[in-house]
Amino acid sequence: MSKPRFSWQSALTRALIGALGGFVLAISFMMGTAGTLTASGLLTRADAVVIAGMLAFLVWATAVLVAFGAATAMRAAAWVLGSATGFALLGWGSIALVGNA
Amino acid sequence: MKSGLRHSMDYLHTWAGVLFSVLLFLVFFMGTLSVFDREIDRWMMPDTRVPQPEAVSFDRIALPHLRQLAPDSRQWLVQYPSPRDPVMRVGWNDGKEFKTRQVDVNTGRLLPEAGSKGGTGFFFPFHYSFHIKWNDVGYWLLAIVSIAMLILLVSGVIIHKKIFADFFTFRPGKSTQRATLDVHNVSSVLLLPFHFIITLSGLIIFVFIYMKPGISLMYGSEAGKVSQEAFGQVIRAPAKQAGELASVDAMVAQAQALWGSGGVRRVSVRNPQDRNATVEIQRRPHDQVAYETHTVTFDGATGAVLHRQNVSAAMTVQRFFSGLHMIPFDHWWLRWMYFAMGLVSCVMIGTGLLLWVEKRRVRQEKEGRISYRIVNAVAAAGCMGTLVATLSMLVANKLLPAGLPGRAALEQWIFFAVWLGALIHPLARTWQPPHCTDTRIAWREQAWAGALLAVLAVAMNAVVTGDHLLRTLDRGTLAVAGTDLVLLVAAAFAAITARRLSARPAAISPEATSMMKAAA
Repeated sequence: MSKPRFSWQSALTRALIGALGGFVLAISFMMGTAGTLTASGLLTRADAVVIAGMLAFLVWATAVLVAFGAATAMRAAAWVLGSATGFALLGWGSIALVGNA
Repeated sequence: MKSGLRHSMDYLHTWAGVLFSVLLFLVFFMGTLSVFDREIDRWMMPDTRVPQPEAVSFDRIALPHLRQLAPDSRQWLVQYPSPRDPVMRVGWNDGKEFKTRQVDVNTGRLLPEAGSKGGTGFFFPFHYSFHIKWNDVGYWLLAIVSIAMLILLVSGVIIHKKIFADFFTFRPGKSTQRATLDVHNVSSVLLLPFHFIITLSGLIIFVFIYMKPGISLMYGSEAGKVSQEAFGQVIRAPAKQAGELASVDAMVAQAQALWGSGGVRRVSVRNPQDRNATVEIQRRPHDQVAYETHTVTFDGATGAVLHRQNVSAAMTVQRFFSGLHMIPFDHWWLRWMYFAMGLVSCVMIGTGLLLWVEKRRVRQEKEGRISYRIVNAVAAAGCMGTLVATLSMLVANKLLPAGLPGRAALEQWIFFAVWLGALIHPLARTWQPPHCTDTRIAWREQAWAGALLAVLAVAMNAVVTGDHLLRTLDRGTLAVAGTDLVLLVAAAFAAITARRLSARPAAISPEATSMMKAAA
């Protein structure tokens, strides 16, 4: 029998962090990675978007696992949203460098 | 491994499983049926049981019908016959919705309205959209369910203390619950790579939908350009001057010469009556895993090549995963393997739900709680009920008179009505004394219903269409014969399951209790 490790409030918070925060992380990961690949000239814009988009699904799933694996919900939020902010900044910087073209 | 992480993952596995299992079962069950969607079409649409055509001509066969059916349409789509689908499908957008009709290429005759959505129109869209079209909600529900499946797989691996031993452990002679746990473990571990790849590839197919916000951020106001850039599409605006379409058959011949080998999958004509018409010809990817169609685009008026698709390495990866999921290649053994693995996935999901119920049955009865009964009812409806609803639809397909207005929609509603009934039935049984604690009654009764319906479907097909099993086997109509045989095998399995569930319902044994503790 699995032990009831989380209260329902904690479980719900973690589920939201994982599902919604994970999606935000996936999108910002995609933007950061695709932006960097495009800015560095390694891939065309469309190719970078496709490659980063495919990998973003794994990032989303990992975020859910982190949300439930972290010691506290606050720490889970910090991991997921902190990483999302980092990738978003990376994406913003690289897009600013090359523009939307 | 830290026990804290294992407990967290156990919690996640248990509750994500309970919340998403029914939806996951639906996706996997409908996906499994979709492996043979064209064959199910043959079974559900008897008019399409025509011989394979020798040669196909767009100009002679498709064009006259399209000019008559959709003279003002902006786009015509023509699906060429294939070894799995002997009819030609002509389709057009009438401004509101996409419409299709089927043509017997041997005679050039437009087949009557099918009166059924068949495998390609009902089971396949159910697999990826749940038939919820509003605001792409169906697609997003699928995304959430797929992510849930990925985390169930990873958390399932983490909570396994003895994953290697479980690979070889199956004790059908032991208690029902132990056997259920073994089936769940074996089916999960044995097909773990399949479960993972099929789920991830399902997400990757829709990367342009799910990652739309990221694409918008990358492309700004030009987000619509991404598929044009990625797939190398050529889209010309109409000149708004009348134009005559050159010979499409000549364009097909030219495309085949460029490909070197292979047949046509689809021909798409944009702005067919305009001077700026374009004709896209796709190759059928019968000899490769990647869903790569090597599209050649022609100027509709002159027949000159405008563009030859050459997708990039990144898009080839996306197309490879799409092909891995959608099986565009001709390989019967692999197709049957996908079907079998899909069924094993359904078993894995169903047994997971049963484990949840059985683990809680005795404890909750003592505590006077009934949530296990509700989960059991939902599980019965979600698993066995889906089978019963599908078989009811197949029986209705043979019973409803041909030509009945709205016949295809009626078939679909019969599926949903029976499915609703399959939910009400176990709920009613749950509150019906004296056997309300026996969670197996509803499963057993629905299994019997499934067995009877499967046999009835085969019998009705023989009576209504005259294509009984001996005749279809003799004539080599393997799509129909195969569907009949699968239905008979399903009937046998359902009857065996029902008989097994008829055994005396047991309280949880001390042995099973200790095993559950060990598993937790």
